[in-house]
Amino acid sequence: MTTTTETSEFIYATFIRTTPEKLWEALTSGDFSEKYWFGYRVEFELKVGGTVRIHPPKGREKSGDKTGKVLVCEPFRKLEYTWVGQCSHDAGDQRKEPSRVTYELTPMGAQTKLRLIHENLLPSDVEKDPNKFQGINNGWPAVLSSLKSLLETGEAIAFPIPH
Amino acid sequence: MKKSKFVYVTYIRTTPKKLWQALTDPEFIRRYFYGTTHESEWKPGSSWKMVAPGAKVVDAGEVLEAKPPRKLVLKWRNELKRELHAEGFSRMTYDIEKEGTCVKLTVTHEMNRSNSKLIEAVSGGWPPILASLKSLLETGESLVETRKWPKGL
Repeated sequence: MTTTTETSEFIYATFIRTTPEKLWEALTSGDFSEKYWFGYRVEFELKVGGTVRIHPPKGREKSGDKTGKVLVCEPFRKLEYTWVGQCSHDAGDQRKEPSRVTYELTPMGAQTKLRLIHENLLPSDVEKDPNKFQGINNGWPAVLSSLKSLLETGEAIAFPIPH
Repeated sequence: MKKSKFVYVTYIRTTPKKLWQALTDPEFIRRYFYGTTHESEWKPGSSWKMVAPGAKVVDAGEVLEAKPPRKLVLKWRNELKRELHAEGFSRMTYDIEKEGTCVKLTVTHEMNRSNSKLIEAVSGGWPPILASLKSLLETGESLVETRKWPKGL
């Protein structure tokens, strides 16, 4: 018996007063991500086939590392990687293939456009309650808003740590 | 009935009151909304219109709900492009919620028809406007590209 699960994608765009080089660094450096991504540290081996790890902050080790592989790496322009480990806090992962995250960086005058695509998402990755930080749909806007604040003002947004 | 819907969430380091003012004060709006002003009394039933330089009406409609500084709902029709105008009225909602040290702004723009061209158009339009609004409130400067009405439109 086969079951097919409908997958979906999440797309978000923002415009940041910075250069593609600085934005690339902010997206791929653990020292940066720790400030804007709820304390999580990203670790990218920046080459095709390289490993990706996203380490939870102290006290939240239980949520586990997210690990993946770099699929596309065009410095300052495009980074695509697989996102292994649960997106949702729901137990059990029925996905056949990992979800994929793509960052596209495009310089536009004094600012850089950042387009995020998170695809191959299962219904459990999407949180119906908008008043939470869990769920891909709630998480990315918070993370990317904080990233924009950090690059433009030097200070990320201090969100309450989600449970 | 089938729907077309665009949802965008952003977090801004400001207060709900300041954000409400930024969304309703014509002179402030001009700085991040491509040089347009939005004219309305911001009361349920009152008309509103978005006016570009040269008194060109871009979009227009009516205020459906106004609860400062938490929620604003507008009936919204495009007045510039025949194809978009023909789709009739859409519904646009600003939801403003305090979230710790910042404010969460959710923009929901929807239309009671599938594959709406208006919703497709605003899906590309809202992100730079809302990014610019966030920059303006947090740094005092909007994004340069959103300060003037584009030539030729």
